Amino acid sequence: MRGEVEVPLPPFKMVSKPDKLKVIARTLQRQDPVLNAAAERLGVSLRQTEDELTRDRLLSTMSQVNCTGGSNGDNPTELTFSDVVNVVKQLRSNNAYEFMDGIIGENRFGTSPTRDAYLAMGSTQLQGQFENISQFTYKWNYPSVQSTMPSEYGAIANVRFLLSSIGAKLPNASANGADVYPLIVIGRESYCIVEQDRYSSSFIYRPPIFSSPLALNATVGWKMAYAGVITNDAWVFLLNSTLS
Amino acid sequence: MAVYGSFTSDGVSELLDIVAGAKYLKLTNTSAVGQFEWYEGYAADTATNVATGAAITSGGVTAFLSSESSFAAQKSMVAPFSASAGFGQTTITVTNHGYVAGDIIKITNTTSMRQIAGMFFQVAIVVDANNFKINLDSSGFASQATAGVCQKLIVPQLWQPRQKFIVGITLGATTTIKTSVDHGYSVGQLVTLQVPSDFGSVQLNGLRGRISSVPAADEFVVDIDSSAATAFAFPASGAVPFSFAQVEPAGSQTTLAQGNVTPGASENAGVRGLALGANVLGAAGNEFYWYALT
Repeated sequence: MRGEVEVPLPPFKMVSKPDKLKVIARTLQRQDPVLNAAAERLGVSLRQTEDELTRDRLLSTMSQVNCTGGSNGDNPTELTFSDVVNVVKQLRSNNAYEFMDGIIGENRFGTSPTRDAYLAMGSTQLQGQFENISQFTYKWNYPSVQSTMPSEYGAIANVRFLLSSIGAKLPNASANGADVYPLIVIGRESYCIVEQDRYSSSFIYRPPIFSSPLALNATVGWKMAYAGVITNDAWVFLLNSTLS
Repeated sequence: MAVYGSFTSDGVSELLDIVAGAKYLKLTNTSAVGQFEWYEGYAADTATNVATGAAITSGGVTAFLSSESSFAAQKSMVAPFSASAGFGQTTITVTNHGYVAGDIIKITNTTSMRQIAGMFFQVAIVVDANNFKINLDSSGFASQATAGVCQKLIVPQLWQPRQKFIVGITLGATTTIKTSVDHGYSVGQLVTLQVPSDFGSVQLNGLRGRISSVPAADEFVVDIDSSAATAFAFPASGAVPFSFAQVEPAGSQTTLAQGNVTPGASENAGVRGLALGANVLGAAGNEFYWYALT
């Protein structure tokens, strides 16, 4: 399709005379809505990939502790209060700083104060396990949810749990061949992402004119550089558990 | 995008590193004349013989992506197990295992030998098509396993060198650590030992040492004086649950002459592609051309 259509200046176009912008080759599709939606999804994809790389990196090199307090007969067992307390004890013995400040108690029904806390990141598949732990405090039972995160589910002792669908899962990895769900328990400043010199990520749009002589297709994508490091490996623990 | 290449078959396994997720593969054996096809969505380890239309139900093609879960199909271990004294002398029987020396397998569901269930081991020696030896000395165990499940790790996990399981410790003025798979560590690298009380040498738990030498790919020496520690030993089968003895990278401390070493699991060893099995690879020495769409 060929035509001369005056269009508003899009943010990506390189033009020398914006006041006289003409497009002499148009595509068959109206691209802006598609591009906007694609940009949103690609943004999620970029950050989720970053999360997955960080997750796998932490899984590769952390001290692994198996849950042993449960009764499901597997190794590791299901998560229990004593397993969480054991990891807290080790982190505190290693002088790891808590991530979150405690939340002071208030005179509100059904709430209880929370302690200063380390963070534990894991799979949403673990959600049901917390129902079985009487010492577990749901996020909605905190005196205040001002300082909580969207993925936060609740707290046990000095650990607050963040659950995600991309939380770690090791298939068929337990002694009995069940799936193992590691919780990555971290203290403050225990790991970091290393900023690259003048580079983090790029969102790349190529208008149709680059695709072929007929300019039929536009492309959009992202690329990034990633470097992560554990700054103190005594402040990070992997707490492995199975489901009950 | 189309990707293509060629290789000489070893008759056992082949990895095609094609970077992207594959949608189609055509494999042509120019030595023995034969073609195989694989499409995205096929079950793991399967393919189609183009000439006959017959389905290859095992030893076929498996798509993989480096991650914590890039495993081949599970295989059952069968009796009898046997073990002579010394590392690499524990024999495992799996009918038509298809493994080669150096392969890494995960062992689970062991009976009478639950102290190793959930650990990774390297195939030390392939005895024959049904038997292989793993990097373990289980001669001191009360009994050998009578059944179990093993699963081959198709490609190394994403980040290397990573945490390893300890299968032996020699105590002394320096401490020699034996790992269940090749460790990939370097002289000058710092490592942290995690030795729960179930494994005897609990005095070493949490200690950090510098690697002073690497006598073997699955062995290294750290500058930790362990003379006073109790001997390392696997717990009894019935002692589960417990945490495994392990070692993890913890930075580096090199001399100028040693230069830089990888301080931890910071090397991205990720690959993505297709793993080929014995039933599409013809005989050792056969020449193959392949063509894939991504």
